[in-house]
Amino acid sequence: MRINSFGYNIKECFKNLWRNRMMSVASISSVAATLVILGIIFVLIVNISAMTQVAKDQFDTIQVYLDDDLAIDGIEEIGTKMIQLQGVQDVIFEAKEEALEKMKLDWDQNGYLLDGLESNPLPNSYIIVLDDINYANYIVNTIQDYDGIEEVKYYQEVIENIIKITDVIRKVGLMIMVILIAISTFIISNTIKIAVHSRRREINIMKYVGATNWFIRGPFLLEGVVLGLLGAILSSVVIYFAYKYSYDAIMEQFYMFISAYLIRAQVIIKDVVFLFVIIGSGIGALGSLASLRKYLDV
Amino acid sequence: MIKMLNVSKKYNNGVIAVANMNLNIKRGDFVFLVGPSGAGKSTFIKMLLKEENPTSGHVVVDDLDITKLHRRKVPELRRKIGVVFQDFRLLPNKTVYENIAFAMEITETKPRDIRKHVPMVLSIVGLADKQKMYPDQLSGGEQQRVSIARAIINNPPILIADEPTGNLDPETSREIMKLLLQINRRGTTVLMATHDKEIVDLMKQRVIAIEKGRVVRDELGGKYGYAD
Repeated sequence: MRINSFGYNIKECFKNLWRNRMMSVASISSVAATLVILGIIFVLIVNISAMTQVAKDQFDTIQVYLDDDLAIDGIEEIGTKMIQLQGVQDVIFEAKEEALEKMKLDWDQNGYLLDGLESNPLPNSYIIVLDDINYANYIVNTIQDYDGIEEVKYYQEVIENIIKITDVIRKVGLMIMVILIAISTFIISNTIKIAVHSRRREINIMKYVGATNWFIRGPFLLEGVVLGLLGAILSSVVIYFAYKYSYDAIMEQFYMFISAYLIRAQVIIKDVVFLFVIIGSGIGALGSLASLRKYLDV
Repeated sequence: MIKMLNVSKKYNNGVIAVANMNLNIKRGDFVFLVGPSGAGKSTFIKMLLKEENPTSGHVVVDDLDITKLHRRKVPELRRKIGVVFQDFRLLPNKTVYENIAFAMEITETKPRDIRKHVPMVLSIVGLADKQKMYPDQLSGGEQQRVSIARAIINNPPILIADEPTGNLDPETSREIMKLLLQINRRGTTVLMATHDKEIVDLMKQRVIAIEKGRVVRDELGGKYGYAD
């Protein structure tokens, strides 16, 4: 296609879209709806991933509580055994007195309540700093078999649950996406079919004069891509404002508690637009090629 | 220029449109293709344009066996063959000039060459003064001239005319024939399918008669040979 015919094609394309505006609107809306749902899934996954990362960083320690009647030799023995385990970066001992002090500090103004205790109910403990979170399970299982261990605490479940939820969202999202993309592609292909039909005389003449298939396809492909892109723009706007609104609402409700882990709208929208433009134009191109395959071939 | 070697065409519904046809049309020939409806004229033309493929045999156009021609090479083949139809097939929303220029735009000709060639061809077909008009402002004969101009604008070695005079009165038909003959004299091979007895008898050119998918007659300076 020559450069100077490109302007002509653009003009023709919008003229056709306007002529079949009902179908155009249907196509754009279906692409936009598909992309909005994709956007919601995307935003959820991105945010949950970010939160998982934060959680992983915070929970990369294992608490090992020791039996109260364990002698000092036993405590030291456990300590040396643990530091040699694979994936352990550091082992910190926290005596029961230290733990109580810490608790008092944590309780702040109510700390005096703890003064009334006759004996210290807190156990001696070790805190294991992990080198690699993937060894967590192995470490926890090994330590649990040692003598003199009261309890091993690790926030594994929290992390596993988050990962599980992310996985479910991702899988369900993917399924919904595939279905919606198929529907949008189908609707676009119908719109293009109408465009092809209304220009069949022209196409027929083009064929006889020896136009290459791509030359004939070009304008229709352009039409499909334009429909997809318009859908992408529409859904980008929807996602941006919806996300910004939700973000602000969460900020107001929970303040820093959760929102510290949320990604700001201005940051996420760049990825969203990029993703939408690619998928939108992809759906458009796919839809028009699908209809052209049937209707243009000699 | 055009060769048919043992060509047969059987459609999927069982109809045998062309049966073991052998033909040789030389460069610069002017050939009438006659025969009753359903004799296989259209199939013959469609096979030349590779709209249909023969079931067996070989079709050779311009020294090229098109039987095994790749789909992507089909446009190249069609640029060698200008086609004129009974119903003109002009684009109603384009002017005479634009209709002809369209055929050049499609073949990606430079705009400068388009501006040079379109008026030239328009003067050949005698429509130099009507280039700004739309098809519905023209008479049938004039519309057919536009369609002929479009068919020859890219200088194809072959011109196929499928009943070009079918919608025209005898007077206009003779004018169109004059034009086709003039194009033929410039070296273009012309193949014209027709039912127009008067025209065929008048022109005294080579006549190939087809019946039931077979060539039943092939004579130079022939007559239409059917009682209409």
